[in-house]
Parts: sequence; C-alpha cells; structure tokens
Amino acid sequence: MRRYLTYIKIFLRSFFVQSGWNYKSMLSIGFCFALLPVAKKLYKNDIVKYNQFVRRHLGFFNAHPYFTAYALGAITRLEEDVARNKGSEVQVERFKNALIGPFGALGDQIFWATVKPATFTLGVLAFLLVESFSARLTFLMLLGILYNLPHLYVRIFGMLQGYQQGFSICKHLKIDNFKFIKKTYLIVGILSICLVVGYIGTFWVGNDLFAMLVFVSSIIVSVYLKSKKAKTYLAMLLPLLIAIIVGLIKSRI
Amino acid sequence: MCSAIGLFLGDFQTAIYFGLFVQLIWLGNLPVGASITPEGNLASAIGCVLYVQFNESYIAFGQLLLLIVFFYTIIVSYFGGQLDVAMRKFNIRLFNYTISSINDQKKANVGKIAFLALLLQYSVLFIFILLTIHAGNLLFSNISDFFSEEYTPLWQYTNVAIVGVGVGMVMSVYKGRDLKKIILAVSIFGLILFKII
Repeated sequence: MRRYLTYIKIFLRSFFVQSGWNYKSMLSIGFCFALLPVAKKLYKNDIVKYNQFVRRHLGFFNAHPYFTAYALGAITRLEEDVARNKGSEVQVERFKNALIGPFGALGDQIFWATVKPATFTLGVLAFLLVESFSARLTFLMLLGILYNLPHLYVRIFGMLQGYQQGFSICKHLKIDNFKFIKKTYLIVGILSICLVVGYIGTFWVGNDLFAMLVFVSSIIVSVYLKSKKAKTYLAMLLPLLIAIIVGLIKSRI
Repeated sequence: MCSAIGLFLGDFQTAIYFGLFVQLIWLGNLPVGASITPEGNLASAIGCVLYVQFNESYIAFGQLLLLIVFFYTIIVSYFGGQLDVAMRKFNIRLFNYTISSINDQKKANVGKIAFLALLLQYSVLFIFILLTIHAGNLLFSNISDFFSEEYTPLWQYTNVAIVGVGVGMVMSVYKGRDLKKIILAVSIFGLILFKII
C-alpha cells in the first residue's frame, strides 16, 4: 500500500513539473520535485545517497510537461533497480538525456499543434452555433473533457507504461503510437476551423465586399507573416490596420 | 479563464465572446522548448475583465472598445512574455542555490525551492494583473473623450479582422501543402453549407 502511495504522490507532483523552470536546467527542479517521494522511499536515512539522487535529477532536462509522465514512470523503475544494485546511475542519466528529444517533439506535435487548436476552434464553432447560456456552458464543459481526455490519458498511462517498461519505453515513443489521437483531433480541428470560416463568411461578412476584403486579407496576411517567421505581433496588428483603412475608404465612398 | 471571469463579473456571454475570439490568435504561438512566446492567456484574461467592465459605456462607439482592448491585450501579452523571461532567469539563482547546498553536504530541499519558485511566480503575476487592470481602467475611462461617434465606421470591421487573424493563426499550425488544400476545400464547403442553411 505504501508503495502505491509513493506512485500516487509522484503522479500528483507531476502537475507541478514546470515549477522552477529556468534557462540553465529547464524542467529539472520540477522534475526532481516530482521524483522526491522515490528518493524518500529509497534513501530515507542516507543523506549522502539522497543528495546524490537529487543531484542526478537536477541535471538538464526538458520535455513536454504532459509527456514527462513517461519519464517519471521509467526513472522511478530504474532508480528502484539502482537501489537494488541491478543498474547504474550512469545508465539512468544517459537514459534521461535520450528521452529529451522524443518527448519534446511528440508532445508539441500532439498537444500544442493538434489537440489544443482543435478543442479551441470547436469551442468557437459551438459559440457561433448555439446562443443560450446553458447550452454554451454545457459545451464549455464538453470541451474541457475533450481536451483533458488525451491529456490525462498521457499522464496516467504514460506513468504506468513508463514504470512497467523501464528502458523499453523508448520503443513506445513514436508518433505512430499516438496516431489515433492525432488523426481524430486533426479532423475535428480542420472541420471546425473551416466551418467557422463558412459561418463568418455567411453571417458576419454576407454580401459586404469590404468586409470580405478584410476577412480574406486578415487570413492571408497572418498566415503569410507566420510562415515567414515574422514577428507574431506584426501578424496580429497588420490586419487591424488594413481593417481601419478599409473602414476609412468605405466611409468616404 | 474568460468564461470564469464572465461568470464572476456577471456577464458570461460578453466575456466568452471576447475570450474565444481573442484567444484564437495565440494558438499559432507554440510554446516549444525555451522559445519566448507572448503571454496570451494572461493578456486575454486581463483584456476580458476590461472589455466586460467597459462594454456598456462604449456602446455608442461601435467596435471601438474591441479595437482598443485588443491593442491593449497585445501590449500586455508582450510584457507578460518578458516577465516570464525574467522569472525564468531568476529561477537560475534558485537552481544554483540548491546545487550549492548539496555541494555543502546539506540535505537538498528541492520541495521548498519548487514551492518558492511557484509562490514568487504567482505573486509577481498577481501584481502584474492588478497593475495592468488598474492602468487599463485609467486608460479606458478617459480615452473615449478623444473619439467622436462619427468615427464609428472606421472600426466597423474590427471583429471580422480579429477572427480573420485567429483563423490565419490556427491555419498556420497545420503544416503541409495537402493539408492547406484540404482546408481551402472544406472552407469553401462550409461557406456553401451555411449559405444553403
């Protein structure tokens, strides 16, 4: 029972993995903080080994915050092995460093570039389509569930799988293993954003050519400036300037 | 966050209108690795408070409030991003302190350091929120004197432009030529669909 309590503590602490984020060691403070229950369990009465454990996990570490759960599970398993003299500290550190790349790439691709935009644009579409307060509130709750389903799946099963597989967790970290989440949310996101365009084009723009000009130019300008890696602020402000100029022209005609 | 602000301030519909469309513009900024991105969520929440607060007093000016709150939100997001950078730099000191205490053979207190880092970050952000809302209050309660209702046509397309930027930002997240073609095709389909409905 005490063993499971340790894992639950690690899981709960994993929500604070970004605390102490810094440019020198990135996530290391939060990551080490999440692993402390293991250190307390393994080296409660040995300050030297406890400090060695902490030092090991204060080394540079960066990953997508949700995907850190995989690393926490695997490292917990490996640290338990080290305490039983079944592995070495050097292996743990090498393994941790090897995880940085895949975790960052996977998490950013799945969550920041797919799940988040999809959930949000679906929210915008729902806002446009339903008008009553209760319906909008219900939709808001549904969106919360829609976002947190893959989020909590990655956190909970990530930690479990990480613990079960140890070193072998690397094999699991391929985009193919998250194809279902990625494809589903990609379809939802694209459909939602396109229907938002359709709705705005029909009901906000209508037959007003000036409004159409502002809407289309805003999309083109922001996509173009973003693709050219121009300053984000310019991509946001230039369309507003165009809107004011078009408004001025229309008021003069 | 904006929906919670709306519920708290008693105007859910206005808050969610502002929040959804303004937050759409931040989706294109992926917080990848150590990249510095505008603090969009915080700025949207601050903008939302001000938009709800001044919504009724600006009714005669059309979309002027939306325009100036949007500008203000972008400025706040920039300073919020810089504040994040400063906090991340400050956290290096906390990190160095932890390492030096381990080197001095003292028991490492990572828990306290993590808690301190969080406490500092939330305290600084709290002060930042209070200051920007206060500055916004001063600005928006006086700025309407400089505008006349006859200028209203100038900012009549503000909402259309903001949604356009939001759509563009989201589209920029979806990479690949095929995906862009699909988006274009489905958008045309969406347009036809709503025209028919």
